[in-house]
Amino acid sequence: MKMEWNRGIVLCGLIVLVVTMGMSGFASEEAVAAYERALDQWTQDYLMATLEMTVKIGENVPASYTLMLWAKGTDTAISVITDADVDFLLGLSMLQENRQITAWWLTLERSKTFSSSRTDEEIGLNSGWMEQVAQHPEEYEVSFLSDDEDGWAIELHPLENEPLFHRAVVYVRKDLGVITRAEFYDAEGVLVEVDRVLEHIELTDPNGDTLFFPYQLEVYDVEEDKTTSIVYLNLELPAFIDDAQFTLEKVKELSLRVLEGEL
Amino acid sequence: MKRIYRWIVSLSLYHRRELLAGLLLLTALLGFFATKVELKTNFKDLLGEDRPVMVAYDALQENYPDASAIFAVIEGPSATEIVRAGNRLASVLEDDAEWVRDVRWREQMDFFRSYGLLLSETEDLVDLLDDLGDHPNLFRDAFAGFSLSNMVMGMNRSFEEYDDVSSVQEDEDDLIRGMAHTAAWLGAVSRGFAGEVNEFEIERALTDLLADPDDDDLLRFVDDAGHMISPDGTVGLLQIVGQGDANDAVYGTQLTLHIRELCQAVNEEFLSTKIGLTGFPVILADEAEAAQQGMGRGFVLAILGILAVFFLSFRRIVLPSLAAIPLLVGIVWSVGWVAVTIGEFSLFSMMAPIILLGLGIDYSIHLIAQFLESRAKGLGLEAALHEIFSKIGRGLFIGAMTTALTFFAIATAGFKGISDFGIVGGLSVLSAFAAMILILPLILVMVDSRRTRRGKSTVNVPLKRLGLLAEGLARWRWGVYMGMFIALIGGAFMLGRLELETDVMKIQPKGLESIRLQDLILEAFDFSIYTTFAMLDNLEGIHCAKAELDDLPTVKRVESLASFLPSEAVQQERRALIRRIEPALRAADPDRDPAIDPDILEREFGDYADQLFQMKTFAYMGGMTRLVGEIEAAEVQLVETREALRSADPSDLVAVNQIVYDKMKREYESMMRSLDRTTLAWEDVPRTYMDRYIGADRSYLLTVYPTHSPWEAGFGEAHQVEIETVLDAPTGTVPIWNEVLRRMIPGFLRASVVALGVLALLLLADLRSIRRTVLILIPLLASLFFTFALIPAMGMKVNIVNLMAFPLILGIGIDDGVHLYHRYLVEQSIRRAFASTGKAILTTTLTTVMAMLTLGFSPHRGMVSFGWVASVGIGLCLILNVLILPGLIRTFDPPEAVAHNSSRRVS
Repeated sequence: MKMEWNRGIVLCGLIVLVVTMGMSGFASEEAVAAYERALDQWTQDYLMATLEMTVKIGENVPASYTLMLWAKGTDTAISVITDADVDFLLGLSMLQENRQITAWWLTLERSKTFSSSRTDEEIGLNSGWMEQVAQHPEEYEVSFLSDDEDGWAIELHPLENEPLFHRAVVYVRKDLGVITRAEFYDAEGVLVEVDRVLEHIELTDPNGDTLFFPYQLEVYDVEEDKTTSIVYLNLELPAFIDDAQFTLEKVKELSLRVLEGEL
Repeated sequence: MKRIYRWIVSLSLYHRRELLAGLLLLTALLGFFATKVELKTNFKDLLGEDRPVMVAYDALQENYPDASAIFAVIEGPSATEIVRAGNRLASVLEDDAEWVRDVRWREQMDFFRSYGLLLSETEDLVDLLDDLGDHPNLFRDAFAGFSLSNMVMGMNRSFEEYDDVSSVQEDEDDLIRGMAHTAAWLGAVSRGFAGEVNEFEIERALTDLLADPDDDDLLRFVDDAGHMISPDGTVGLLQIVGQGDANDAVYGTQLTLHIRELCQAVNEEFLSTKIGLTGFPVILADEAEAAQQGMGRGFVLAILGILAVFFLSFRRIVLPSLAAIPLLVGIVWSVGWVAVTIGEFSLFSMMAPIILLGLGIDYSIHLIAQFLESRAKGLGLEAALHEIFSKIGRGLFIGAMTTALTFFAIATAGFKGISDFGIVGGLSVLSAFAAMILILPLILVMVDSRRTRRGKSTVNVPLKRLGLLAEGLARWRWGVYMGMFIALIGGAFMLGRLELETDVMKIQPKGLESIRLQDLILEAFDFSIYTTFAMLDNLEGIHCAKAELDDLPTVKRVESLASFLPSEAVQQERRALIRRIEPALRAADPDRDPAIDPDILEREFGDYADQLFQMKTFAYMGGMTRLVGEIEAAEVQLVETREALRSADPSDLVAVNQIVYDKMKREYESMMRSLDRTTLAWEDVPRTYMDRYIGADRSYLLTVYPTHSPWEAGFGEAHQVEIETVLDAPTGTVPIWNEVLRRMIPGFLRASVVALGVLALLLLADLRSIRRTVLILIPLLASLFFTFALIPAMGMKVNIVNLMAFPLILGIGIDDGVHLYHRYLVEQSIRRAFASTGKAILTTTLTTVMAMLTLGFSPHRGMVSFGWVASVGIGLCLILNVLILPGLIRTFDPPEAVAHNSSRRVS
């Protein structure tokens, strides 16, 4: 059968289109899968760490302190401040449970519970919105945005009614499959926060799997001109931490131990 | 001219008595006029009365006497003592109706309290409403009760809202300010508990705690009774309005002296306080006094210096001393002529008498030098007198004319200050010249006759070395040209660093108490006494202008009747806001129990300490380290306060509590009252504010306060430009000064160009040769160039006073070239011309520089800089004439050509 030349061109075009669509579909699936794997690596069943937090806001001198942390899953954690540039912060301990944080001031013998959706920020432990996305990925609609040499860009839209942000773009590095940067925008499309992972560490989890954990992070609040830097000084992924570790009594005990110089 | 000279010689020799009588009569007449001359040292007089800014200023003076108020600054260890001294002074002043028209010592606090909300800026009410949105219990907590313990309880309640990092971060700036005021308040209370109860300090701290000090400027700088007291309670301010025009130099000085006497009497009564005066009229009077003192001292030093130079040059005592007679007569004549013509001396033209010393003596030096030379040659008295005028008469006349015309040319500056200086300078030169040629020959005859009778001979001391030097320089002229070229490049480099002084304070006399107090007011009250005024026809215009001016970056505050009587539209807008604020305020319901229980107070302070600690951790974890610092300062103060409370005497506790109770009650009741006072009419505004802001011509006054000192480099002009975008005819010290600066440079340039043109024309008419005119002008122009270049090298800037030295250098400097060239044409020899006239010009330059340098003793920094610039310029004229002129003559007008031309003319 003899084919007209113009029909041949149309057919070729259709073939190219189909192949391109297929390729891009494949790319988007790969990117979303890489993003989800990266989130899995971000959250662990159990975690013990010592981390240093530095907060710099506007013209203020940076505030810096060291925190010991025990975490179970995404919602339960206990921490105590073991070192700081200022003495009054030593021994301040916190228990996070069911989206609530209870802080304990041994000096005042007073506890206080924070219970909104922005608990970390309320107590000052702002580890960034990306961390919150990682803890509750089911609350966001994920779509592929673009692909370039540096990595994939994934777009997030919150599903809840009163979200922290309106839209986010998360960048995933292709070779390691880790999140390197996340940008958060408000309803007007204005950039409000930028989270960056400056360094990842290669770890083996209790199951023997290798993973890349975000080891050094930086959270920049555009409106407040506030930068929070988080650096893990020590990090372990134990197979189990007893639930007895996550109680108010333990919080008080940790606080006392810090003030007595045991921690 | 020759005929006149011959007539003078004849009168001096044969009609001495008649000449003397005529001279005495003329001197007496002009001396009488001289006593009438007015001394105006105000720089506003430099502009001329027809300028719009001056027309507006005169209208301002006429309609608003407050605009030229005198400020009494009371310094003392405490507000109580300042108020006591201030009350006494106010009472003394109010009783002195002959001199004092009004005393402003207390603001009408009842008015401000009654209409507090309505008089608040609309933006402040909007802010308050926003704060109420964020903190609905704002008033409930602020007015929890009037007693000390209830007040601290309210503070604790208000802190409960700051229960996380986000809430602290939201109010970070307010909390930082609040903590600083809390620490100040705790300090005041603590000192009260310790037995040092200071009512002002506690009330001031409470005012700052209750109202944001940035929002309400008046409250920040008055005590509760309305006295103007600085926030630290160490400076009080009282304004005095004189019966007459305080900006009139004579009246202002008398008023200042009179009020100083009254202040002195009060000072003796209240030894712990110190009262001083400042304000524009006072500074004006002090400046004039300092300038006159400086001038008096400078005058004496100038005479001594000039006579010393004279002795060194001529080795004589009597003759130089007697030369002072025509010099002084010349000054009397010039002042007399000034009185008859322009009638006044301004800041610039008052320098003319001292300059005249240097100028006038020049003529006598030339006359005496030539007379001694002629007599030493063996000529008789009459022949010697005739030879003076035949040899140097033309040079003297041309020199005097060029100098006088240069000064008169300055009058074309189109700027009164410079123009007056030109006229006074021109009259002074002519007077000096006339006095010298009329009087000096008479003196020469009298002295010479006596010497002859005593058998003494006349000795001349020649300056041969200068002639040899000039001849050598003429021979090595190409080397000199090369050196000059290199110097010109260096000079051009230095010229790039030349700056204009825009800060009027830096040309005022140093160390004046009134200037220190003016700076103290700025520091203590954040208030510059140098403001811009405008008068508008209607109140609506005032409202519009105020709204626009408030938005300008260089404007700190605008005061007008609008501040006391907002427009109906504004009142309506504010009423609506007040209605929205009202429910929260009415719900406050403060506890009126006046009792103080130390245990309850200690418990409240304990809770407060916990609140601070908790807030401190939130602040630190949120990165708000500035706030942490403020909280820690408040914590330290709180510890002291609690310690003081534990050991306090019950009577001190009661006293502190009573002050707090009364203040809180007063503030609360004022606010409640102002809820009902939401309409302001003309009749509600106190008379004193009406008088202050409505003129006799029914115009409305607007006062604009700058954000910085208007004398700060670059700021004053920017401030003025901004204000002119809103106001048509701003006036006051700042606009006048800016107008002076604006007109000064173009005026100076125009005057210089005209002066140069006149000089060139005159020289051309005299020498009838473009080439010779140019040759004389080259060293002069080079001198001006290098003088400008040396100003930055001397660590100085060009200012309105020292700029006046340049036309002067032009006028005086040209004399050197004229005399040298004329003598060269007579002698037809560079060596002989420089040896003979060189001595005279060296002496004249030294005497002139001597006169100028004595200005350096003046406390007036402008005059000091004038003295330096003029000395350097005139000195350079001599140096460059000696350096360049011989070479130029040798190159372009050699002696052979001159001899040829002369012989051709003879043949």
